Amino acid sequence: MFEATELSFTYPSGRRGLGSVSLRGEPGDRVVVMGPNGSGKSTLLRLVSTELRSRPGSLKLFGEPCEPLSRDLRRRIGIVQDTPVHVDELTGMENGLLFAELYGLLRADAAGALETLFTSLGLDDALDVPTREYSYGMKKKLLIAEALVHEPELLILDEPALGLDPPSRAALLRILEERSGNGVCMLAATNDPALAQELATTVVLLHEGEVVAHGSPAELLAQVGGATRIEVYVAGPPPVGPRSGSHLATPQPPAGRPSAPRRRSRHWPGYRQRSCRSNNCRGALSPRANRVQTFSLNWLVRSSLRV
Amino acid sequence: MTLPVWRTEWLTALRRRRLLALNTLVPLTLVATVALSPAPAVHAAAVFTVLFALFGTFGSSIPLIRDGESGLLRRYVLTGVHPGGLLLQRVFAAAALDVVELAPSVLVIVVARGSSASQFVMVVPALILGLLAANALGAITAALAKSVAEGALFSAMAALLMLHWAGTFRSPVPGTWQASLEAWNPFRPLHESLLAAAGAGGPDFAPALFTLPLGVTLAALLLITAAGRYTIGLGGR
Repeated sequence: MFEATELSFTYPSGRRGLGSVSLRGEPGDRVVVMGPNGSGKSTLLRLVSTELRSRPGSLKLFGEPCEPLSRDLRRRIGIVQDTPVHVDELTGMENGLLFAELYGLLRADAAGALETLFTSLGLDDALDVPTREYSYGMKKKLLIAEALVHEPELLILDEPALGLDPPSRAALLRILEERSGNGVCMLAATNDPALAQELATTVVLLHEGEVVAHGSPAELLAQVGGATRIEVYVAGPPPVGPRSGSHLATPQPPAGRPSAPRRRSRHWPGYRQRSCRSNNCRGALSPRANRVQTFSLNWLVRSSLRV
Repeated sequence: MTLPVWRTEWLTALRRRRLLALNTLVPLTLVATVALSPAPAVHAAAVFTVLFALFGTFGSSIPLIRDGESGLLRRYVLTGVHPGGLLLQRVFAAAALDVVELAPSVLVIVVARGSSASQFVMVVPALILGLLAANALGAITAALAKSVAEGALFSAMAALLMLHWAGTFRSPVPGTWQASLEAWNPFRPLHESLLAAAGAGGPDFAPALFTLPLGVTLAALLLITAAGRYTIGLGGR
């Protein structure tokens, strides 16, 4: 379905976006790329989606080389970008029909497929509302519907669940699993460990543009000793305005915590002592939680490499 | 054959009612002020030509750059649509909208200056050709610009230079290279027809005036079609 060989990319500023990454996905595969901010996840997705050109490195899509690029290949891909962009003056349905037509569908055929998708994603009440009045989550759902309407064989998803409410998130997972069952290959990037665990058949961990770990979620967990809970302890200045109701808000000393049989911990000097149960950090991550999560991901990466 | 981008441009323009009204009323105000004044035809025609040419050039380049920056053009192209075809649809749609928005201004010129029917007949195709060329020029300047500010600068510079070569600000000496260049310039029929309509007299409908400028405009559109992918910030993809 896709075969990336030593993909690399350097931005015009000279910053390396991606090192030499080789990756492949077969029909039905759900490859999830994880890594800290700036690790190259989105760059990898942009390369595979044919938006960027890798030099050096090569990409094959559906068994065909992408140099020179055939526009027909693009019609077989569905892309959910991290930032949803639409024609603000058009309604949700009009935007959907516009992209369906650009993918080569007839309006009459597309309308039915879009209505089904909008209903599944809980967007059917807003079909006739201009998208400038949509919330971020609604725009994201519209973007997902637009990416799926032409029944793509390869789906590229950048933070697909970001901004979605729990029912929509569940609906999205249901749709993706169904499409995967029909042979659709998926390449997704996320910072949400829970989403990765629910969605992925293969997880790729990126760090500074390089693949540092690669395998099924179970294999990766086995590499870190089968830990199902990862705790990161950080120490340093007190937090500003602790948030009540979150297990991340109140510093919790490790001493009083009931010990888990397979728990691992790591101390990060310079930060306040805190904890994060990575497998329980599903949804509603505050900026502070994201920071902790990033550390936990680094920890996972380093542990998997035994450095 | 469906033209989704053409349709989207029209729908978008019609729904931005305030902008549509401003795009019609602001040129009309300027044109009416000059057309109703005792300004000499040569000066009035220069004002009208510059206004119409800048209207078309900016109207094409700024939205293209804005949609490029927002990522909308990238989304379009990643669906597999031909980038050149996409740009052509936008250029033609923007030119057609410009014609609609500037039509009241042209009527005011014709009525206020007492133009003959044949002079009016000459203004119409000249306006269409001039606006098509201006929008094509806007698409080309958008390809070179990396921001809206650059786009505005490049559009103004390119349009004014083309207007100068079209003989809008001066008459070149016959037999010089400037005079040869003028015959090819897509803004020349617009200027000549507006000059006639503004009261300077001159030839009635002259198809020969359009031949070379039409060829240049078609060549520019061909260039946009062939090199469309470079216009939308995809690095040639």
